[in-house]
Amino acid sequence: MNRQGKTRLSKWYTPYDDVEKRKLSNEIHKIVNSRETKFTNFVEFRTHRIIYRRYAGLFFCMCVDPTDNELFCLEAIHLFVEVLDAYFGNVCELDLVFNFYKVYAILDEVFLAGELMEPSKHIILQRMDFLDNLP
Amino acid sequence: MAANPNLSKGAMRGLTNFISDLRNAPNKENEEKRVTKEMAHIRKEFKENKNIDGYQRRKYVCKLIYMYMLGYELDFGHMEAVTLLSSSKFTEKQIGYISLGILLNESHEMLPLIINSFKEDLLARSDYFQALALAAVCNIGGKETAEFLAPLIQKLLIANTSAPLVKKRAALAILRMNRNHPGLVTPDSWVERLISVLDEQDFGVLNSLMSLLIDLVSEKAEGWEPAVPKVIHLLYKIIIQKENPKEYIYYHIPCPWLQVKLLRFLRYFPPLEDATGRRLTEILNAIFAISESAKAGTINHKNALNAVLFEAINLIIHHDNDPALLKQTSILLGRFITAKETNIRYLGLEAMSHFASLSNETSVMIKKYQDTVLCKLNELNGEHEIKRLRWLLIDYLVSLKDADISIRRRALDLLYGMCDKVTCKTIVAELLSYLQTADYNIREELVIKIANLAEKFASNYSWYVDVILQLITTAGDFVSDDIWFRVVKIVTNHEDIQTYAASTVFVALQNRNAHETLVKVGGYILGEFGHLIADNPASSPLIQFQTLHGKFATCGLQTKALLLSTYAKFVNLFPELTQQTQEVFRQHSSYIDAEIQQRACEYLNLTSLNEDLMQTVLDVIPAFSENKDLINSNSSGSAGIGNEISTPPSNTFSSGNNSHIGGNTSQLDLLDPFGLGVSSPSQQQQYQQQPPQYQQPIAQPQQFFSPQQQLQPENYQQEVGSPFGSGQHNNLLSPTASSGSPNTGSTGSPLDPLAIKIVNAYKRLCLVNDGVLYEDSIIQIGLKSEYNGAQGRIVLYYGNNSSFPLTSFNTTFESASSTLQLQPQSTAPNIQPKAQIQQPITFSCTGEFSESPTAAINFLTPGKPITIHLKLPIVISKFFDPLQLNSGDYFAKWKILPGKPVEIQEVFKTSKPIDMAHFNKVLSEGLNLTVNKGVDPNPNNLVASAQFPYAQNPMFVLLRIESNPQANMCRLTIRSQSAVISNATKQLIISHLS
Repeated sequence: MNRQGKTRLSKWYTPYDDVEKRKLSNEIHKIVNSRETKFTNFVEFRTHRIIYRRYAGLFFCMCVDPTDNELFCLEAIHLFVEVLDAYFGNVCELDLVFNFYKVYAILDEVFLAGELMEPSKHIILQRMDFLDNLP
Repeated sequence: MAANPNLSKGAMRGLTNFISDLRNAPNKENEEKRVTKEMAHIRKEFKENKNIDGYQRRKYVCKLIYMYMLGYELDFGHMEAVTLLSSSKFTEKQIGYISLGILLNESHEMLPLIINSFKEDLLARSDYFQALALAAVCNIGGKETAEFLAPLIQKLLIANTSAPLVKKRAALAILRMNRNHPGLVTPDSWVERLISVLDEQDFGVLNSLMSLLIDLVSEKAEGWEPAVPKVIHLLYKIIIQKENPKEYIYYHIPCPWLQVKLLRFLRYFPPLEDATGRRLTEILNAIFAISESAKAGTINHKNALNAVLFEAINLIIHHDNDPALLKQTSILLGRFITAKETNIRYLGLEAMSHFASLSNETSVMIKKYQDTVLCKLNELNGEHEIKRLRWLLIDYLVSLKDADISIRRRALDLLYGMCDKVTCKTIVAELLSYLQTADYNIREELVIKIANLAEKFASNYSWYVDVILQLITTAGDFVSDDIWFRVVKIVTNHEDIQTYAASTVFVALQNRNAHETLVKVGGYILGEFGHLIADNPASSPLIQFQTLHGKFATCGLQTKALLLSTYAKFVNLFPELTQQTQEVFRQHSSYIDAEIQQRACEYLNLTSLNEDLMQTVLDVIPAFSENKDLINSNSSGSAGIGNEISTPPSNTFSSGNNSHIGGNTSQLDLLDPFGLGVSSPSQQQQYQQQPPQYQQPIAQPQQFFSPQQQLQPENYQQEVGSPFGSGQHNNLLSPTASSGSPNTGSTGSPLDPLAIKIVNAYKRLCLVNDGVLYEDSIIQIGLKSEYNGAQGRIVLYYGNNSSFPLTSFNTTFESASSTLQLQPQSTAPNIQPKAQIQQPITFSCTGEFSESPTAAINFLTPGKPITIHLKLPIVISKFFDPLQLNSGDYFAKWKILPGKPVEIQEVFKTSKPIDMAHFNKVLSEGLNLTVNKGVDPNPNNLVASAQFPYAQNPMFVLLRIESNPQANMCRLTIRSQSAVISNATKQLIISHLS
């Protein structure tokens, strides 16, 4: 989501209806956006924990169990951003807007079922290249 | 960086233009116009254009998804996305899967329709189709998906022929199915084969497999032991032998994510003492060494390093068996707590509070090490103990005042965790002073923690009373009822502090701005123990009365009601106050609020009737039984934070508890004797024992004013609890409670508060699937349940609330009915303090039954065996399937079903005003019946129906309730094919509606 609270990409691994999703997104944006940059990248949210990272005007957030390894998640976010950056070549917010379906495809190559599926940037990019060239 | 040449592949110009249009719209209105136009266009195309090709369909679906992402509602297009699924072109199929992944979730009604497409793609020859289908199962797979596809996906995971990219997705798909619908995936039969997948070379497969294994062992570690050496061997290869594929090196670190998962997996197993165990020690030492040597580096390098390091630290703390490693850990954590980087400080504080919550021996050690570290730093050797302690605390206290609430929370947890008898007073004093300036976000948690610490470590109770009073003064709004109930209970049970408590409360009440909670505590304590300080002229009965009554006008209804009871007690203790108090009662005997009015009338009668009765009724409250620990139960969430390392992170109740008052605990509050204000169960009991004629004058005002009572909001009655009437009382007389008395087991009379609690918890769980079944100061038993047709599965969670291990733990289950047999899994024999174990039980219902099965839970506490008998909330309605019927069908079925004895009719009276919406809710949400609209036109009646799975032919259950709101009377008629079902349904309905 960006700093204005527009969600560019969201993936829900637990079923919620549209109204709940919107409500949760807004709440999370409010919490994350109000935090200073020198604060931790972790913040409690209801019974969960949000791990977030800001890249320019975009926040990448993950809502995880409080028992999960926080730095693990934080670096997983970075891995995803690096993949996006390499795929789009200096990625910017507009890339994500215009190519949202590709972003979802990439997301499925990195995370599935709420877990990190593939931790190698090289392999993910190779795979995207292969898929893009399928008929 | 050059733009990816593939970007243009598969691009859709129409989509790009459309997105540009929307982005360029000068205002929301124009955007909406554009969206409406596009929607109409697409709808028309889909409807009329018979020759629409794959490209166009793909483009339109993308446009629809984009609009959906902007927040516009989609009422069509889903089917078109489904059509894309069956395309043979990858680009089209991919968009189909992506859009369904965005539009649907696991409970979407459309999902069952597309499972077949999933299956076809899973069986496809090309692994990219398989991958798409597996990803869809990972993202939106629901129950049906799991039932239908689990065996196939399991096969894909363990087959040697599957490509790595299929295997890693299959592992996560199984993980998802197991998480959401445990029991459908049964790994027992393939544990060995799954472990053999660990020999796989591909890091991607290993990474996903480890996620799955962690999930499986977190449920049940038993049987997975052979995996432990393999996992340690993998770590050895990665960290010591450094045999790592190049593409998995992340900022110079070999796949940190896999390392973390491998270490996490080991947490679920006890430490090994053999060569493999020593190898693990070597690995952990190497992790420490690596993090020592790498000081510089990018932030990503450091993060990845620390992710592994913290996982290693948590494993060491969890194993708690290697003094050398523990010592290193404590030194390292000491450094982290003062680190500049907030993330590190945060994690350091968190790990430290896990450390502090370890067994006593170790936490002594940690303090010793901390002391050494700090003393070296500050050269404070030989300083006074308290001063040393203060130094020790300073770091934490600095963190407690950090600008970042995340840090503050962790610091608070740590302080809470490291509190013991020695440090307690200092820490509580610091926390109290912090409370004055703390912001609102953290106050509630802080208040609970202080109250909990004060009680847990109080060396004398007068200090405890002081702390709680200070809490109320500083942050009265955040002091929940539970906290002041607790202080009242402790004062009542400890004679030695009653005088002190009375005089302290009396002094505190002199403050003009005394918080209302203080007035409640004061009202209660002076009512019971005011006589102990009445000899002092400064706190004579009259002054006590005036002090309290000075606050009366500004108090809320609940407090007013409580104060009236206090005054009644005063009359008994100090006859000289009779006139003043009776005056107050008289003033309020036509008060607008029914509860106050009722109390005033009753007390007026009581105090002017015969003196013997008054003395018996208003006698000093007897000591409370010590078997409940409300504050602890409430703040178990906060204690749980310290525990989470010792309790495997499964999806249990502790996460839900999260230190907020409310949720299921508030439900239990109503059952607390204090929920009745001053009218304790003992009073009720006394009333029960009175000859009937005494009941007469007292019951009168209630009946007389009942029309006004109906005006009250429903919950108010429950909250305050009428001293002589409704709420609690009726529960005991309800059919469930009376027929269910065997379940009270070890506890005595049905008026025992614990027994009431058990009955009520059972009753509540008859309506809902998850909740707490039983709780006392030793054990908490939670329950989760799931039903599917005639199959059911419950999981019991046994949490040790005490500070000692529970040993020889075993359970037996009995079902009176042959049609319902339980198959429990065995449990671990011991539960460590603050730990939790679980026991899944499966069962199927082969026919009608009326009695719920019972459980006997046996264990040893130090010195004494305990047996708890409970009724399990498995009732007939849990197996019902809601059945929607229209008027014609309903009556047709009604007529086919025979009359007596399977038709049952009963008239019952409700204690509360009849609320059809409430009835509706209980029947449809609690008892799985469909309430059919429009069958009976009378708004005061309702008809409902359900199916009961019975071999091949489901049985119908039809019922009708006719109500008479004026008289609070209802008539219930039930017809089904079985008298047993009719009867059981009747019992359930009456117990929940009357």
